[in-house]
Amino acid sequence: MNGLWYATQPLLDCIRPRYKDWNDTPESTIPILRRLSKAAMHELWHQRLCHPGETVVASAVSRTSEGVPTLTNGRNAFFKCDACTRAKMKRTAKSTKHMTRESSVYGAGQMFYVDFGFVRGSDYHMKDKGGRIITSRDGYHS
Amino acid sequence: MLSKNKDPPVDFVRDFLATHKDRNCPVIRVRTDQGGELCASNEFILEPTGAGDPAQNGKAESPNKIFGKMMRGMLYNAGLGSEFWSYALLHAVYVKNRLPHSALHMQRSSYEAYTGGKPNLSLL
Repeated sequence: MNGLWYATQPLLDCIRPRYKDWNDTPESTIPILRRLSKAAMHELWHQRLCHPGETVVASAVSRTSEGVPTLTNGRNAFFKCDACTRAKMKRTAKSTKHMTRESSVYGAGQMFYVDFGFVRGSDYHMKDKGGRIITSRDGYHS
Repeated sequence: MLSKNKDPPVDFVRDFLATHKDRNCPVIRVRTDQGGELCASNEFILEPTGAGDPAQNGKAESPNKIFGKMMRGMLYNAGLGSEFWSYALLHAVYVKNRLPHSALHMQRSSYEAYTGGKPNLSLL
């Protein structure tokens, strides 16, 4: 029983004889314990190790320390992590004047970053001064 | 060890440097910012930065950025407020010492380079 497991039912229901004949098993005892997927393990250790980058979680930590499993798959945890993006903000908006709704966004294309400031360089050459840079989570610029 | 006030921990730094002299690691030069608190001692050669240029002290300033990111990431992920920053900072230092370091070619952690044994992270 390697790896992390989680119970889908209360703990007392989990304690049952496990190595029964499949035909004799009543319906209520079918898989109660589920194993965490590789992507979930990757994300879990990404959070446990204080949100490091991909190289550290995926390959380096299991070699340099004891007690950490080898995590090779599920490499999207670093890019999906919302806390990593927010950790770079030293200050947050205090007033909620412009905020229409509390949101927590996951997934590509659902969040856009718009800079309403002065775009130096482009404004010198463009007659249209309304040029803004809009960046999505995927890295597409327009 | 977080001090309550902003006085520089001069005695702590002096003890730290003195113990590392004993570990066959001769500390000859110490780069500081323009604080000048260590100037009283003649044990080390001080190399202060130029005035108004803290970027020359980048080795000492970059952990401010790194630990800030780790700290804020943990707090956001746990849904805690910013009043728990000191606990998060101490834990970030604990974890960062046990992660592989790029100056050691990502092959060893700072903990292993200092003590010689591999860190055990199973209790995280």
